[in-house]
Amino acid sequence: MASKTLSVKGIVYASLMGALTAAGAFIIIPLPPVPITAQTFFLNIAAILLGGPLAALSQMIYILLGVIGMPVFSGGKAGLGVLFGPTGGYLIGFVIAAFVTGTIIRMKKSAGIFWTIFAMFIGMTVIYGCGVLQLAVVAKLGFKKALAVGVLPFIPGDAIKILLAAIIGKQIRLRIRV
Amino acid sequence: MYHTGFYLNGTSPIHRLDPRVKLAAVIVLSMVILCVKPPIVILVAAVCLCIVFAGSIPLRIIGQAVKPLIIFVGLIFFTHAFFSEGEAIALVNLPYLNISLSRNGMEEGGLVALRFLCLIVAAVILTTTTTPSRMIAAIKYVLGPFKRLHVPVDDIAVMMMLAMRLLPLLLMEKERVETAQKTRGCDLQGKRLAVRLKAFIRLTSTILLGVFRRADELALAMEARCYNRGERTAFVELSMRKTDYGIAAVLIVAGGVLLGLNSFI
Repeated sequence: MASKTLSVKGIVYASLMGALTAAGAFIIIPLPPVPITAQTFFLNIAAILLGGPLAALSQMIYILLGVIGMPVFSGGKAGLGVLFGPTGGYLIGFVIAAFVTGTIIRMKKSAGIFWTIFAMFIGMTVIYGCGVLQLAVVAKLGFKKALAVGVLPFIPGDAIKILLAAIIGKQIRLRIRV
Repeated sequence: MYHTGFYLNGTSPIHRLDPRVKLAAVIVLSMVILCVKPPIVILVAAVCLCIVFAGSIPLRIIGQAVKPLIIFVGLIFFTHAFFSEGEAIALVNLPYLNISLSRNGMEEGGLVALRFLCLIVAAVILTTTTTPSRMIAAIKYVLGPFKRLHVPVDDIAVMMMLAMRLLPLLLMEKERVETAQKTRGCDLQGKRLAVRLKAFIRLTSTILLGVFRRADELALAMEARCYNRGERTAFVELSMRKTDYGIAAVLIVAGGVLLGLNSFI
């Protein structure tokens, strides 16, 4: 954790991205086959703007907000039960994915749009990896079934979200400095 | 906005219980419930229901919390009911699809669903009987040991407060920008996907720039007031009373007995 390099600005920005991710749970985009929320979109924006450690911190704040009972998990859920329940793996994946994506993007001095998309793709893989693992363990589903229930329906939505995050991130990255 | 999992004012013993004890109980429950056998799960479910009544939490609140998850629970139940191996019930049999409703599957599905419901109810009890500020104090305590690993625990508590304060601001900013764009003739509710995506990009990037400007102001204000990172005092100080220790002890004993029973059954 970037404990020494954390500035007041960094603290406020990470809290802001955490709050945005929370608000993202209420922005539901109706897309077939399953409606998607804007959460991972804000996760990716956080990774682009804040870099690895701060983005991970912002997602941790988001999860803790849910744990203390703010209804910020998708579908207005809240509480520790969600974190340990079948879909909790995705949330834990958020923290790791934010770190990974942010770090990969910062590896290049000025990441182009393709590098950004590549980084976000890796991040999504991390989220789904964690998510499916917990879904398979908690709901006692086989790995293939978990994959069919927990990954495949979300892929089209996520592709669009990655694209949007890359475009918007590029537009505003130069105006926001951490 | 859903209101499940919000604090409900009250004076029941559950409300007055130290949040650290409640938090620990929920964490232990969520780990234990996944590895115990069916009779214990039913027992735990009954205990959860008793606690709901003891905390005088209206059943309507529990219903609201469970409602958005019903589809998911149903999905889990039916996947188990139809895809588990075992003696098939002749009543519903789809030989062409090679799936059948089996008794084993239904039992297993029901058990998984019940476990899940227990976790939800426990979480609802925790959050409806504890104020967010006491909850943050409890989390700060739980995260305490991580200070050794240089996790900025005090900062995390401050950040949670900040994020909670920022949430309504975000919604306000969104409405402001939306109204501004509408008055300038932006098509926000187009039917076509491309139009919608364009509107989304325009709206979101404007909101982001706006809220980051607000965040800058906030950071500046904090620095101007000499905000320093590191060890901080808190408005809410938790203290364990005798009853809290007593209940913690009862919970530990009950947990031990349940685990013992589990290995006997």
